[in-house]
Amino acid sequence: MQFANTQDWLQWILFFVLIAIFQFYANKLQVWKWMNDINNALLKLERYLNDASASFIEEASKYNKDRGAIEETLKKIKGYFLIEPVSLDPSGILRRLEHLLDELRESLDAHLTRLLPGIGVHRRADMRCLVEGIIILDQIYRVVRHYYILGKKTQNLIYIAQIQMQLPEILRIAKAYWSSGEAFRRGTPVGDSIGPLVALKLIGNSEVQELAYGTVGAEIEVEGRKVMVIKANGPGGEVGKPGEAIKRVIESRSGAIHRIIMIDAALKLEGELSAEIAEGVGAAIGDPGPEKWKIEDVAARYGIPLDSIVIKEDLTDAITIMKPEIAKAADEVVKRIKEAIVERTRPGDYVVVAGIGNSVGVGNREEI
Amino acid sequence: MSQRIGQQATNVWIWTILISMAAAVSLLLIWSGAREMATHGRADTISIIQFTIGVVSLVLVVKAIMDISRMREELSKEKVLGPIVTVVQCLDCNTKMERTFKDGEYVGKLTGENCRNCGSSKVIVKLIYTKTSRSE
Repeated sequence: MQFANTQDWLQWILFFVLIAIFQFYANKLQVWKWMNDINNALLKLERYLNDASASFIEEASKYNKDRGAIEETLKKIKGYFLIEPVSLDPSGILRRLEHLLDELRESLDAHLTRLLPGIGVHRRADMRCLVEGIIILDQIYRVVRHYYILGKKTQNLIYIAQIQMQLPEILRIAKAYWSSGEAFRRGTPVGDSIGPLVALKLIGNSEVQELAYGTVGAEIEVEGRKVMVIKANGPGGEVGKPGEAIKRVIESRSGAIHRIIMIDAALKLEGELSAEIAEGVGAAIGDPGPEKWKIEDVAARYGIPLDSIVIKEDLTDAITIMKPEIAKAADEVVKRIKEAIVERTRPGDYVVVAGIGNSVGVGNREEI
Repeated sequence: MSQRIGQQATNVWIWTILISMAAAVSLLLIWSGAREMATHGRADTISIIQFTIGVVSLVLVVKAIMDISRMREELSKEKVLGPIVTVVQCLDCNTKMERTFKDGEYVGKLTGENCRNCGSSKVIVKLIYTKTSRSE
């Protein structure tokens, strides 16, 4: 290689200078780019949070004209937290967790009842779901902001990298909760309401009774079998206590139940079709633990077969207004439940069918 | 928040300047490399390096512009929400009808409307969903 003139030399020097700069400052440039990404994500998260809060305030204003009081209460509720029970001594942890979850729900309900006088039980449940979404958005925003500021202060690549690499997932979750506000504000079914929707289709116009907190049931007949259909108390945004209800039904019959069939929405894997129906064994319920434990415990104690039918959806589908393909899957699920009852039980048997999920926008029976 | 919005605006300017500079340098390198090759009638090491770096940089610039425009497009799509529809059914003649959702409706509710087909008052809400499907 020969250098014919000064221009060649200059080009080579420029080339090596660039290499040297990238050698020493590549990390700095990378950090700058990542911090920029986090900053943009924070702006987006802040917008989601403000938008969800504004939506709550607008809806609450229909029940209370004192906007200042609504804003004050929302500010107070936003920071709400639940300290999980100590797990060093696992004995009775689910009972303790259930107690804390009940306390949390009752506490939010008490705030909302004070703030929104005259609001019905169902609308209050919708508003509670709306507030829970805001609490989650606020928590996400605070955590991301924490790492952003920490990264800025320390210029520590690890702090910055770990939050930047999780940003797509964090934003996906935040967007899902932000979008869910519209469903609870207007009281329409969400993807997770597919369980209660199927239960309602089975119940038809039969009379329902309260079985446990926020949970109702109706006894129907399918091809000579008695079927107790259980769902959360609708049409408010309630998930109820289906585990407690199933346990009470089974214990009231001293275990004389021949099969339990549970229906719930299940998170789909990427690549799976939305609204795909799958069948399996086990308690199909996505609660933090207490309700699932009760069902498994009582089924195991009395040796009752436990079947599940799930409808696959992603997180966004599950908590936002129901999509047409999910709504239309309900008829197919009803067909499969009836087939399962006829094929796996005998006439005269007693079956429990539980439609698990949020009952927002789904009544308890057809009102005729 | 206003501080971060200001920072974002500054970042947009920095990105625009950087991308413009990178595009200009890329074009200059391509032009310089091509001119050297044409002048000498052969491809020497320097002109090949210039030309290659120029092409690679230009590809990166185009990709950066495409990424930014895609991001902006996604942001503008975010607010779009499909219409919410209610499917009502007459329990006497089973006629189904789809219409816009009204606040306060829920599945199983007796609507109080009369059936368009038979005039029966037994019209209930069968389904409520948004028109936007996941595939959209």
